[in-house]
Amino acid sequence: MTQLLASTPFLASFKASESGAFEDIPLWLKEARRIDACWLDSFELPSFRDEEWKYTPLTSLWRRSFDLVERLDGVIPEQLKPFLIDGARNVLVLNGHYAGEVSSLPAEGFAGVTLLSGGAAYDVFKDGRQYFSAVTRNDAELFCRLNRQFLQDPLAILVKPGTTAQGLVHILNVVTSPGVVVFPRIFIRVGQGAALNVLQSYLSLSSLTGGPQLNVPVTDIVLEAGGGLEYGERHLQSVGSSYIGAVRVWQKSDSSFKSMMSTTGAGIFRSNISVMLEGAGASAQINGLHDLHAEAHADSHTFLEHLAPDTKSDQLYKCILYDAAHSVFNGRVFVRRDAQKTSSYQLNKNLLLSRECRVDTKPQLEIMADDVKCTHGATISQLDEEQLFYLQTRAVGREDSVGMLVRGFMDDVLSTVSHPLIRKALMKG
Amino acid sequence: MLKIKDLFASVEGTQILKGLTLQVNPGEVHAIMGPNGSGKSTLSKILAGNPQYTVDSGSVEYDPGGRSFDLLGLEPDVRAKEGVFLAFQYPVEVPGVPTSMFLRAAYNAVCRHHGVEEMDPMDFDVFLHEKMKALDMDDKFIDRAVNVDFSGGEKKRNEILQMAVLNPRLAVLDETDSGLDVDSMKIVSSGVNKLRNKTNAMIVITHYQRLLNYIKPDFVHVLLKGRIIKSGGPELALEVENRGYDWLVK
Amino acid sequence: MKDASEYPSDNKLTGDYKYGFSSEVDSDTIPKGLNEDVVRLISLKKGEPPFMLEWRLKAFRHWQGMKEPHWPNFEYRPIDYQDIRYYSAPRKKGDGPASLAEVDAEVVKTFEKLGIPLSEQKRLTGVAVDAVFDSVSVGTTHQAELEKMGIIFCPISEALQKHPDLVAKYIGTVVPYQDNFFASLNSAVFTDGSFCYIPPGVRCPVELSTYFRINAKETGQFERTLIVADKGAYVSYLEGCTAPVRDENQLHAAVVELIALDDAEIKYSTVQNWYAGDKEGRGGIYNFVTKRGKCAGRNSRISWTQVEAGSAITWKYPSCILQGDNSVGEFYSVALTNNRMLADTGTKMIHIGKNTTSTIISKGISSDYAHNSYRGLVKILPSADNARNFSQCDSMLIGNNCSANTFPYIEVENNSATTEHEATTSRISADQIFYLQSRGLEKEEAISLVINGFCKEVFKTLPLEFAVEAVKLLEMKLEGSVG
Repeated sequence: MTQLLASTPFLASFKASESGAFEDIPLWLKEARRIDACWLDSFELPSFRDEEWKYTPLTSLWRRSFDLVERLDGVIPEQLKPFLIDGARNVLVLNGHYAGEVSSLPAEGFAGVTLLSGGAAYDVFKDGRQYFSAVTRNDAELFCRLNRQFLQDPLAILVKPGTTAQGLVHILNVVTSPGVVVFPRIFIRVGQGAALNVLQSYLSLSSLTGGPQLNVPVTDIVLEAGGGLEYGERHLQSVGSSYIGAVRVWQKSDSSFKSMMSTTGAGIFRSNISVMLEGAGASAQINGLHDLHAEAHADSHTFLEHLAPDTKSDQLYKCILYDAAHSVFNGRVFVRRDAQKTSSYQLNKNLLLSRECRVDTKPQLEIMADDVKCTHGATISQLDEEQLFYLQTRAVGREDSVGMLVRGFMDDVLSTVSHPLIRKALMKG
Repeated sequence: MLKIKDLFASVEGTQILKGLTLQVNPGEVHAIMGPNGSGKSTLSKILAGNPQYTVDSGSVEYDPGGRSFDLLGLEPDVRAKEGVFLAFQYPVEVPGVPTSMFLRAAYNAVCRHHGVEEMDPMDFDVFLHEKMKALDMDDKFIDRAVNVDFSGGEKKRNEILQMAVLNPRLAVLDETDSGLDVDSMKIVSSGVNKLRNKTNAMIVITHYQRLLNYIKPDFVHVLLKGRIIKSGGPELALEVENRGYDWLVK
Repeated sequence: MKDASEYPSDNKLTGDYKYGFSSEVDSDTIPKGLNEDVVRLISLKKGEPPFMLEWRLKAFRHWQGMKEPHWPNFEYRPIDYQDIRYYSAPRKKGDGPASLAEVDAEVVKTFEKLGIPLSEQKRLTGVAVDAVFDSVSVGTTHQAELEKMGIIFCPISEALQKHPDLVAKYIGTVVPYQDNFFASLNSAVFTDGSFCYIPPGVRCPVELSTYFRINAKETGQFERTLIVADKGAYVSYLEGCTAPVRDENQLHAAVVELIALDDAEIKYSTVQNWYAGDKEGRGGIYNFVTKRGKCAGRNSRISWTQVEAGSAITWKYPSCILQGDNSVGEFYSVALTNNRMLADTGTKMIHIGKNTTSTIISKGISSDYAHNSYRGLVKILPSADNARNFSQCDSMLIGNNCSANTFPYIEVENNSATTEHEATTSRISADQIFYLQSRGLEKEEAISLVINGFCKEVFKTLPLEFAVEAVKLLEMKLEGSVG
């Protein structure tokens, strides 16, 4: 039986709180929302057979209700201090609203970088409307549309052509109150030959306040010819919170993108990352590290589309599971007819450390060009008892031995991160 | 053995060779030097019969001993069977096909062509290991797929191993030195030198003079814009090395 | 009925398909269409015991409530299930062939043309053949010798009469009649197929083989094969198939069930070369087959090897349910698609027992405008301690208009499991062929070397004659595609 989204408590809840709250949005967006509203009204909930949600059922979500928050209150910056990064530009987004910058040290290396919010950000979105309105093949489309419908306070980061920003822009995305839904939206455009480093931290403080939360961010990234971006995401969410986010990257010729998604999971955790290698010579490196405990769940859908010749993609997703954790990996590599001389590599490795944990992995290849090199693989295994034994005979206790081997398992993913501040933050997290 | 007369040839509609003439006799080693784009590699591909290259006019007569052929009229495999060998500048990767299987198939194809008995796998294995020893090649090498995941040096050594196995009358070495360090170059050159004798001939195509220190040519030709503009002895190579190509144009 | 003269084998329509002739055979057919009466009529014609009719009717009623599945990647002309003839048999002289001598001479000739001699004088050594022509088995060789060892190898219709208890005990235990749309349809209307039973401790000395031939026009072929290897038994089984060239599509919806008890081993090999349609994709067989084996006993082993080179559309996932502890499942596949063919094939390995092991080796070759997909599932259930799986799925593309896809699903619910999946993509390029030619190999030799190298892990699991045949078949199909 199919059920309409419109008939669920889920949509009704924040639809109601939205009324009258979006007076100051530009006209073009209002029009786009009107169309989306019809789409959402007729949207049928995905069934348990739906490939996209097969291993991450959303049934519990539809029964819940969430509120959109208009203004932040009761924020205690003290609580956030441990999560700020020294030496970076720390940008606060609280409950979906831009809340200014906090920098404990003078941050350097941001020549050519502009950060815009409010009306100025909307202007940037309007310029890049083909990206803003795009629906890619790996979007969890419903949530992209919900984001477009309910986003409240967007951010735009621009880097001027030819400028290399050595510094790190750190966006700290915090949900403070229980029962809140937020729709953060960020657009990053790196100009020709320019470079930038960005880390987003997603933090839920619901462990302090109790109650479920839902975070539905969309981050759009455009790398112009020869542009470069090192991008990281650090997720510090609780099992009470849910995260369904999309990162969409459009790459022009010879641009390079590198990402690292690190998470400890959530109640529902779903990351959709799509990279469109549109220009010849573009390259992308998509890595992930999941460290899941207790009942944590983490589902990563990656989509690499090779549209132009001589493009390169590299993926390494590793997952460590303890307790009753559940990990899902769905990696798609799509090589279009024109993308000759493409090389693509994809590997998903899972380490199972308890009897109750569960892994579902699906590394897919869809290839339409013949002169390509594509390799993918997936492994699921445990720690090597012989290695453990060896370490123990060298006087290392069993627990420490496990820790050592787990660190060894994580090491090659972590070492792909180049920016020292991103690496430091991820290792701490 | 080989008579190239007034050869014009193109690739993808662009004419590269513009009236090339060259004669090679048994026992001789000819070096062909020239800057990028002068037509060196095109010549090698025309001689091996790469279908992407077209001959516009001219002739190539090939006489492996006693019989004479219009080389241009033969399929690539027939040329190989008749003793023409091209060591590729960029050896092609053939995934899934073990090197040993490939070498035996090639060797036996040539045997069949000449009405000679084919070699069985055991004998061939012994034969192949002798050849590999001479090139200082690891045993594991022949179990790997042809050229797949080979280093630059390994690929070039594999080319010379194939040459040793097929024992050609006319070998064309296309930039065999490119991408080789000095040690690999010594091994490859000594492998080539061992194959030199009075009845076969070689054309060595190179960018640099340094390979010619190891493989000593009898003649050196300078190829420029699709024609041989100067021929001489080994000293010509040194002169080119010192003075470049510009002085030859004036 | 159109005969071969209307589609001479050298015209454009037939292309390279050398089995494209059809035979003039006096047939006993029933009118097109499907309803309960047709199901009853089939059962009646077969003289089946009542339990079988009941089972068929249950399947039919279930099927009526089912929806035809649709795959997301491609479309095909809808099948009109009322426009298919569900029974066609070469007319027998008398009440049924008491021996091969009574089989229609034209049918025997057809099989001889296909290289399958049925007469006792000419029969193949080392291979016992059951030949299925349209809806019925027309002859089984070597029966007498096999009987001496207690091996039952006969048409399933005969088994239903002579060994109803054995059939009743096992049929539908691996592929239940509710399993899927095409399996349910098959359960309702299957007309023949082979039945094998190998008694405890017996190693079947010859290869058992069924050869399927669709001849009649507008006929679907719904055969059902059931192979049971009792404790400690071993059997190797081969299956071959061809069909005449016709410009409409024909449906082939077979079901194969394998059951291996303690310490038993079943090897099942297929060379599938149904007519695949012409260059523009007209005609050809829809090959929608359900094949599944159950390693029911401890230390049992089931091994599937398939060379899929025909059919307009193939959906086929020969699977293993690894229930017994220490049981082993294997799947070796070469799937070649050219012209406009579609192949979506793979396997399911369901690990239930402890220390179960599975291996998957899949090689897909795609050329022209074809689509070739591997789709597979490895599922490790919580009970399957120390389960092991290794999968390797390689694709080869020839030309730039075809596609190759890999969709492996791996679901693990037991942490002592180890699974490994690898996949690569490569191609046959003009450069490679030139390189091999420049070493003295002829073009055909060069292509065959590359194909052989690509498929070697699969070919080595086939009986030798079959392997040689398979290589030739692939070469023939790929002629003209490279370079």
